[in-house]
Amino acid sequence: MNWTQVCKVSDVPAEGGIAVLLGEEQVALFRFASRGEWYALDNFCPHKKSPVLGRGLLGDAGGVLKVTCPLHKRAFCLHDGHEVGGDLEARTWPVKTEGEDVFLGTEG
Amino acid sequence: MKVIVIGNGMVGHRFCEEMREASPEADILVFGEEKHAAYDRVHLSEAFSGKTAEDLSLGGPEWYATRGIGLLLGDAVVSIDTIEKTVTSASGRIESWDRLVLATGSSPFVPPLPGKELDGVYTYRTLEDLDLIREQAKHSKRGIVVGGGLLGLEAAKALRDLGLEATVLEFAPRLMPRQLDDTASLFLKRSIESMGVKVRTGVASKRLLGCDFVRGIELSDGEEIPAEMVVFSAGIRPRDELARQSGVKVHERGGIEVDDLLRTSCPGIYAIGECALHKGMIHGLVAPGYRMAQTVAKHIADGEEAPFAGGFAPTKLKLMGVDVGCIGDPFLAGDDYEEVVVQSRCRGVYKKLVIHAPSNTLKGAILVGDNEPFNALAALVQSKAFLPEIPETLLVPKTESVNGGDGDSTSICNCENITRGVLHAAIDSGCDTIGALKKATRAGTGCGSCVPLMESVMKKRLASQGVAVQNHLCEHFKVSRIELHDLIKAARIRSFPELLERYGTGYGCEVCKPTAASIFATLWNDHILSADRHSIQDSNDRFLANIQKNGTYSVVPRIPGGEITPEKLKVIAEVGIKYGLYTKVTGGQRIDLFGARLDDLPAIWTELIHAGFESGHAYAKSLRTVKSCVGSTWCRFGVQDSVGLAVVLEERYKGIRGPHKMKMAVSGCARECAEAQSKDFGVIATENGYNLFVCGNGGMTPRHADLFATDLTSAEVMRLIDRIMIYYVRTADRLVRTSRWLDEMPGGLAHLKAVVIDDSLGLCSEFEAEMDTLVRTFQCEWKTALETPEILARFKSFANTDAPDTSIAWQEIREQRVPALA
Repeated sequence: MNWTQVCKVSDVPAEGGIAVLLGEEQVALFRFASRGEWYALDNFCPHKKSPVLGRGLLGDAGGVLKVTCPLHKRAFCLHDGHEVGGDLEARTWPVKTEGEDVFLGTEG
Repeated sequence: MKVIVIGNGMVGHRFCEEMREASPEADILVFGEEKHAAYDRVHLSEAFSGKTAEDLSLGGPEWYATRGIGLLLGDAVVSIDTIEKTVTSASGRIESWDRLVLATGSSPFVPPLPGKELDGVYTYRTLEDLDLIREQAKHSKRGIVVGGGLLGLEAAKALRDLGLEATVLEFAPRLMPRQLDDTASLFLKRSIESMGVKVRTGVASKRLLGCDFVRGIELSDGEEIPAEMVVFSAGIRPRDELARQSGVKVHERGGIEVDDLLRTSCPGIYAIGECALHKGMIHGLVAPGYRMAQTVAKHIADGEEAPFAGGFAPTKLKLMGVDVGCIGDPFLAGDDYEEVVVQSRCRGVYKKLVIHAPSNTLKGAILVGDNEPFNALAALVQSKAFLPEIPETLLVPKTESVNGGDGDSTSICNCENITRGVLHAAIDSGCDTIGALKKATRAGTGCGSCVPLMESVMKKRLASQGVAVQNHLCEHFKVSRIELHDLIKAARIRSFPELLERYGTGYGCEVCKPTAASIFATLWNDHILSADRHSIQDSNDRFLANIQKNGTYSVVPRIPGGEITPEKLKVIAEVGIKYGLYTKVTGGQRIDLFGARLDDLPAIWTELIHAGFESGHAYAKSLRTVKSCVGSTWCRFGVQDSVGLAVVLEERYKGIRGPHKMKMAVSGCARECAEAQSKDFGVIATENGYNLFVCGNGGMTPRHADLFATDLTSAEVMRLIDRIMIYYVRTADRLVRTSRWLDEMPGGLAHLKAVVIDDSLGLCSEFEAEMDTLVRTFQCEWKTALETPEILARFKSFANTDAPDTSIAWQEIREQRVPALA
């Protein structure tokens, strides 16, 4: 696993998300501050392939943590990227923090 | 007092009734030319469908005998001595009179066509005519009726009932030209033709064909229509010859001239019915004749002067089984008159109202195919009563829902084309959440705009099944939006975590977070992007712009009332050019700039605000625009400064957040060019001020606004809007526009009026105070955002670089940049 520092903790709003650029890839980064957890999904919503997931609203459905796309309100599980109440799939990325730095992981 | 009546038709008979009633002791004597006592000429054709002369009789000689009225039949009066006050009959009988009533009626007009004296040519007027026609029919296959008026159509029916192929020829371009307009006539024509009678309008007869017996008619264009019988019913001529010979004044073109009390030029002599010419008009229908009879009887008996109104008697007919009604004057036209038409070709129904718009009263109506509304409409013309706001409702049978939107076949989700019926089936099979319903039917999975409607359908269906319907906002808050509003207000809660901790469970979602944000905004009016607020905003609110399909935003500066200087237009143009934005004029009279990158929004707004623009709140569930027409400043019809009021309203209510967006409009006159009646709040100028309409809606489920109050000052308009808007913000469910709010409000409009106008809840001063606070604490969200570095820092495409998002692809259409096709 290669870890790349992408931003500072304070760059990401609490209970919110942002997008970062990892090489050519757009990744949506989410800070679930109330649980002290971080998640990352593709920034492109699998529904209409628009780069907007980082601007989605965080929440939960029956305990499943999710982000809801701002375009058509499709919701995706933050853990594994599956669509809540649907069949779509969003790619997930490993995230970790060290102090003030936030890292995204890539294979190999 | 001796009264002599000359003529024993329907009107003469009615006069006897009225006279006897008004004066039991008057000496009444009637002369009749025909051998029959008065009979119902209107239903003459029914003699062919089984009715006998007795059936048509209005009482016969016995009727007269039992009332002590003298009746001399088959003995026409041949002269009147107006000085000695006597009449002389054909048999030589001389009778004196104190009052003489001429009810001589009319004779059928037979145009001077070559061949009109041939055998087989008849008129249609008397029982004798009928006997002749019936006899001739035995040797005939085809018959022609010349004249498409009331009697002509009756004659055609008679011929058809006798087994003939009947054709009606009408010189005018339409049937019943005095009662019906073109369309009504066309509907009548279709109905009549469907019963096997041919109708030709706009045709002129040239001559009758045949040597001794008629064998057809040649038209002016040379066409020959074969027939073994021709019946003339081409209008009437008043029987005024007796009056003329006796020195009673007769108009040169026919008709005994009478005044409003039906008095002729000779003292003591009256004329009534079809022989009388009142204000230049012969009344060929029986109803006005009856009113004449009444006027004269009352005048003779009691000296009562109740003038004959003339004009337009309501006419209700059944022509060959087709209902036809004509009320008032349905031919009035011009700027002040509005026509309302309901028609169905399939059902053969046509109904028209002619409304005098300035007074909102009914002036005329035509009905074909359905006389059900006849009595109500006739009463409205007579009483000059104000019409309902939607006068069409007078023309349609009362049903459960006028807008037709409640049926099972009504489409709810237009993206997936899912009907209410499909949703009902899914609900019945156990779907009791929106999620389950979406999964089962795919409804609401497209654009999602129908989800509130789906919720409403689901709740109604479940309620109808006796299932207790939860109005919970979402799984995190087991309360409705209204209850949440009250909780937040009572506990003075200002942040979402605090709200969640006190009243909710879990982490919130895309439903409860923006709802709470909206309630915070209406209660506390802080900046919506403050540190603890921005992450619960819907995406549009979060970036103060409208997200588009490719993730870029559109920018809408406020243009109050749609009024903008050329200088400011220029600034918009310059910004559009500089940032490569697609521009489009919106339905709300402003300009939308599309394709702005997230990271360009601050720079774009810096320039706009520098030029004096403010946020247009196109991204918010709040007031969008106040549309206006140009009003009295320029328009020659305008009665108030509609633009001025629109600007004031937009400035007052801008930025106030509610359960859903709100739209307003101000029209400068009743022509309603601003379409105010399709808005949440619509204002229409009157000579005396403004009329306020509320809870209208365009969009998916259009609804005409209801008239709320009339002739208000602009200050009164604002006070009423203040109260209604705060009441709406407090009590409407999430994503419910004012239209559905009112429709679902127990008590409806009357309740809203009671609360807002009569202050039945005692809340009006509170409403006004709340509104005043909101207005006072307004801030341009974009101006504050630009002045706040923490907020500005969020307007970046990527957190780890200032580089723009280069993944967005573009193409050009019609000389502007738009998203590339996926």
